[in-house]
Amino acid sequence: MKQKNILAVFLVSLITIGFFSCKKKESTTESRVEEPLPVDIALRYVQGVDGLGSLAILRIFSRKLLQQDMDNVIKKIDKDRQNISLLWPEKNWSENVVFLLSAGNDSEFQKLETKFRVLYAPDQEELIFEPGLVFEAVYEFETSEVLQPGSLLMTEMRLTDSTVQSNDVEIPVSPSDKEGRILLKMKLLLLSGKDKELQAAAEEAISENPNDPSGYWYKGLALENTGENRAALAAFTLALEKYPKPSKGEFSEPPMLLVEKIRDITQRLKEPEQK
Amino acid sequence: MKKKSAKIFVILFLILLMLNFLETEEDFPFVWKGTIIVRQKKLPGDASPASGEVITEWTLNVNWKETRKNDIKDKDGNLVGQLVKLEDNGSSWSGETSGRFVNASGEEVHSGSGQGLGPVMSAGWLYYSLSEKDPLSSVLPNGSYAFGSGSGQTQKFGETIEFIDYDPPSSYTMNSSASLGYYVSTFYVFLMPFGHIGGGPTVDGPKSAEVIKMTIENSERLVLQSLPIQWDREKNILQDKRMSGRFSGSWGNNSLVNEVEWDIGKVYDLQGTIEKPDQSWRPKGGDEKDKIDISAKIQNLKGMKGKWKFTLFDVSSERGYAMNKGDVTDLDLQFAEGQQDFSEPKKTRDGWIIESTKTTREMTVEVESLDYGAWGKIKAEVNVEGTWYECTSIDGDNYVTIPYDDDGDHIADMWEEHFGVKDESENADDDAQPESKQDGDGFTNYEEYRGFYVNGAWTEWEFSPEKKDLFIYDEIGMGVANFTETQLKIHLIDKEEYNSHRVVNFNRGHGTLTSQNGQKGLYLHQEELTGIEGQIRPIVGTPNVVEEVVITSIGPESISAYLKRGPDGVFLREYTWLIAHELGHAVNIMHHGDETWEADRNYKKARRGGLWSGDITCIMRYDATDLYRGVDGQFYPYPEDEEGASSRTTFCISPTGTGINAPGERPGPNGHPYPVAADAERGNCKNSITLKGYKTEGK
Repeated sequence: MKQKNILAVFLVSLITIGFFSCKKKESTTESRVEEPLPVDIALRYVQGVDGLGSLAILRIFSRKLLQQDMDNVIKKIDKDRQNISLLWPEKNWSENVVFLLSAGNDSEFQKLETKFRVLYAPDQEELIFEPGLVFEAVYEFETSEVLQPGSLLMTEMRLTDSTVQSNDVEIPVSPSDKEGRILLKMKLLLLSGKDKELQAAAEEAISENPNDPSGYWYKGLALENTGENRAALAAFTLALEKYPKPSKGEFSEPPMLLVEKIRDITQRLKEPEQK
Repeated sequence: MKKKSAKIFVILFLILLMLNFLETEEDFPFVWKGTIIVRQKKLPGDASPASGEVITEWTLNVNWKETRKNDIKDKDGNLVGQLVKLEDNGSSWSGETSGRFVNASGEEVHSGSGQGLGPVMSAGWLYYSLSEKDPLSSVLPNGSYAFGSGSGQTQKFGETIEFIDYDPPSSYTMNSSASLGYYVSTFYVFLMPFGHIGGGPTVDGPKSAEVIKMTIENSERLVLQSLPIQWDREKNILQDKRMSGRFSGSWGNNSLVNEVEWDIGKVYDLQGTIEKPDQSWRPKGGDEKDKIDISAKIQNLKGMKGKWKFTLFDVSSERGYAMNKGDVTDLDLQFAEGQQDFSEPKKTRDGWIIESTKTTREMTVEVESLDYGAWGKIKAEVNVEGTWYECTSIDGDNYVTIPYDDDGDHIADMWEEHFGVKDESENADDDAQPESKQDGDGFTNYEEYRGFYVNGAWTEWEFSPEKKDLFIYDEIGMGVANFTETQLKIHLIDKEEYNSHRVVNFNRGHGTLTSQNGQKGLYLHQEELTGIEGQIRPIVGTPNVVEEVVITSIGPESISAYLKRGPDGVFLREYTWLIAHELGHAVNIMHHGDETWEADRNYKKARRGGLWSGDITCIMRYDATDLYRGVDGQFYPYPEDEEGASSRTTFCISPTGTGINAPGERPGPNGHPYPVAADAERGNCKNSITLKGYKTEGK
C-alpha cells in the first residue's frame, strides 16, 4: 500500500514537473503587437506665396503591399496578390483629416487651427489599394496662411478603428527673390488647376527672366490645358531652346518631357489635316 | 506473475531513486588554486649604449593537489609534523613578450605570446607542524612552504625579433630566451634533506625531526651563499591558509630583473560548470525582447551546495535596439526581473550581478535581451564556506557568451551558420549577390545580423550577408517597379527609418565600416520639374552621394490634367519605367552613352552608341524617339514598333546591342539601314551597380 502511495506521489510529481515546464515555455512566447493598418500617407507641401494659400498633397498607398509585391517578384513567387480594400467615404478626406504642426526641435505636434479646403480628392466609397496605384488628395490652406519656416507639418487621418499618420515635412523658407517667388507661384497655380492665373504668372516670369525655360514651360502647360495648342507649341519650343546643359557636378536627364510635349502637340495639330 | 514483476520493478526503481537522494557524506578533497606571475625584465645593461627594455611575463594559473603526506616523528617516535608534497592537478599558463631595444645600428622589436596546459612547478612542499613540541618549529614553522620551477620547457613560446634600420633589415623567430624560472622559498627547496628540486619526500627519506633540523642548521649558511641571486631567499609561511608574497632580484650587470608574485589558496577541488546557451537562440529587442536560461551546477562533491552569483559583463550597449530603431544607449542584456530565489540584480560598469537567496547544487538564471544585436559574457560563481569558485564552460573558459558565439564576434553562431559566413568577421561587407563590379552594400555582417526596421517591423532572416540591400524611402508610393530587376534586396522604409542625413544604420557602433560615415538610403519623391521627367541630385553615384531621386509630377497623368478629368484616384503607372531608370542612376548606373541631343524643333535623334543604343531590354535606355542616323549618314524614322514589349524592362549585362541595335549592318524590315543605335558605349548596367562608398558617374 505504501509503495503504491510512493508511486502515486512520484507520478503526480512527474506530471506537475511536466505541467510547469510546459507553462514556462508558453510564458516565453510574448504576445505580438497587433499589426498596424497597412496603409500609408505621404505628405507633400508647397509653400504659399504672394496671397496664394499653401497646398498640402496627401498620397494614400500601401507600402506594405508594395514591399510584398516586390519581394514576390524577386523570389519569382506567383502568388495571388491580396489587394487591400478600405471603405472610404468622402468625409475621410475632409472631416477625418487633421493637420498637425510642431515648432521643430522635438516640440510636440499641435492641431493646426488653420482652415483648409479639399481642392481635389477621389470620391469613391471604397479604395482598393494595389501596387502602383496611389490615391491623391490636394488641400489648400487659407490664402493668408504661410506657415513658419522650420516648423514641421504632418497629417493624421482617422479611420474607422485606427489612426494613420503621415511623414512630417519641414516648412521651407519662402523665397525672397522675385524669380523664386514667381516660380513657386506657378507651381501653386498649376497644382490648383488655375490655368488663367498660371498663364499670367508665366508671362511675368518670362518678362522677368527671358532666358529661363521655366516661364515658357508653365506658359505652355497653361495654354495646353486651355486648349490653345498652337500657342502652347510655341511656348514649349522656346522652353527647349532656352534649356541649359547641366553644369559639372550635376546631373539631369535631357528634357525629354519637353520634347514629348512638342511632338504630341505637333501631332495633335496635324490630326485634323490628316482627316 | 506479470503484476508481481511490475511491483518488484517499481520497488527497485524507487529504491534506486531514494539512494540517489540520500547523498552520502563525501570526503571533500582540497586543492591549491591561485596565480603566480613571473615577470622577467631585460634591460640593455650598464656596459651597453642601447636603451629600452623587453618584458616577458607569464601568468601561471595554479591548480595543485596535496599528495604523499609523510609523517615526521621525533626521536621518541612522537608524530610532530607532516611533510606534504604538492603535485600538479591541471594548471595552465599564458605568456607574452613585448618591448624594444634601440642602439646605434637600429631598433630591435621583440614580440610573442603563448599559452598552454601543464605543470607550472617542478617541486613544491608544505610542512604542517602537529605538535607544540615539534623540534622543527624553529627552522620549519607550521605552514612553511616552498615551490619553484626551473625547467621552463612547457612554458616556452616563440618570440619574434624584428630588426629595424639594420642593414639589411631582417626578422626572425626564436624560442623565447627568457625561459621560465622561479623559486619561492628557495632556501627550503634546497635545504630539504630528503629531496631536491624535481624530487620530493620519499618513503625512504629521513623522517626524524631532529635529523632534519640538524641538516637544515648545518647547511643553511652554505646554501644561502651559493643561491642564485635572482631567487627568493625568504622563508615563506602560510598566512590565513594562503600562500602569498612577492620577491624580485636582478643579475647580469642588472640587465635582467626577475619579479615573482604569487597568491594561492587552499580550496575545495570543486568543479563547477556553466552551460553554454541554447544554440538556436538569438537576441531580440524592442517589443520582441527575448529571454534565455543559463544554468550552472556543481559537478562533483556530492552533497555540496553553495550560494550562486551570476555576473553579466562585457555587455554590449549599442545605441537603440536595432540599426535604425530606438535611441537609448544602455546595456543590451539584463537579468529578467522578479526571478525566484534571486535577489535584485545590481548594475555594474559593463553588466549586472545577481545572487541567489538560497544554497543549491545548481541554479538557472534568466537573461533578457533588449537589443537585436545584444551580446555579452556571463560567468557563474558558487560560494562554499566563504570562498567563491568559478564555473567553467565545456570550452574551459570561465564564462560563456550570450548568444552562443564561439568566435566572439558578437554575431550568434546560428545566424552565421545559416548564411555560411562563420569564418567572416563581424565587419565584413562582402555581399556578392547580385554580382557587380563592387561587392558589399555598405552594411557589415554584424549590422545585417542586428537588423533593421522596415515599414515598422523587424523581420528575422531579412538581411543576408550574401545579398546586397538597398533602402528607399518612397514618398511617391508607387514602389520601385522594374528596378527589382537589379536583383537588389530592396526595402521600402518609413521616413523615420533613416535619419535626417538619410543614414540607415544611424545606430551603428560595433563592427561597422570605418571607410564611410554610415550607409544612406535613397529618397524618392515627386516635384514639379521643368520639362524633364526625372532628376538625380546632385549627380549619378552611389546612394551615399545621391541626395534626391526626383520624379516629375507633371506629365500625361499630371495632377492638373487629372483635376479636370475625374475622381478615379491618380494612376501613375506610366512612371514606373521612369522610377526604375532614375533609381538606376542612384546606384551609380550611367546611360548607355552620352547624348548630344539637338533642340531641332521637335525631333529627337538617336545616334550610334548613345541613349538609345545597346540591349533594347535595358531600363537605362530611353523610350522611343523620332529619328535615328543610319550608317549612311541619313536620318530615318525611329522604328518604335520593332522595339517590342520587352523593351526597357530589365538591366543589361553587356554593351552589345540587341534587336534593332544588334550588330551587323543589314536592311531593316522597312528597308532602312540597321543597326539603329548599335552597341552601347557603356552598357553592362547590372555590373555597374555600386552601393557603398562615394563613387560617382559610373566610376
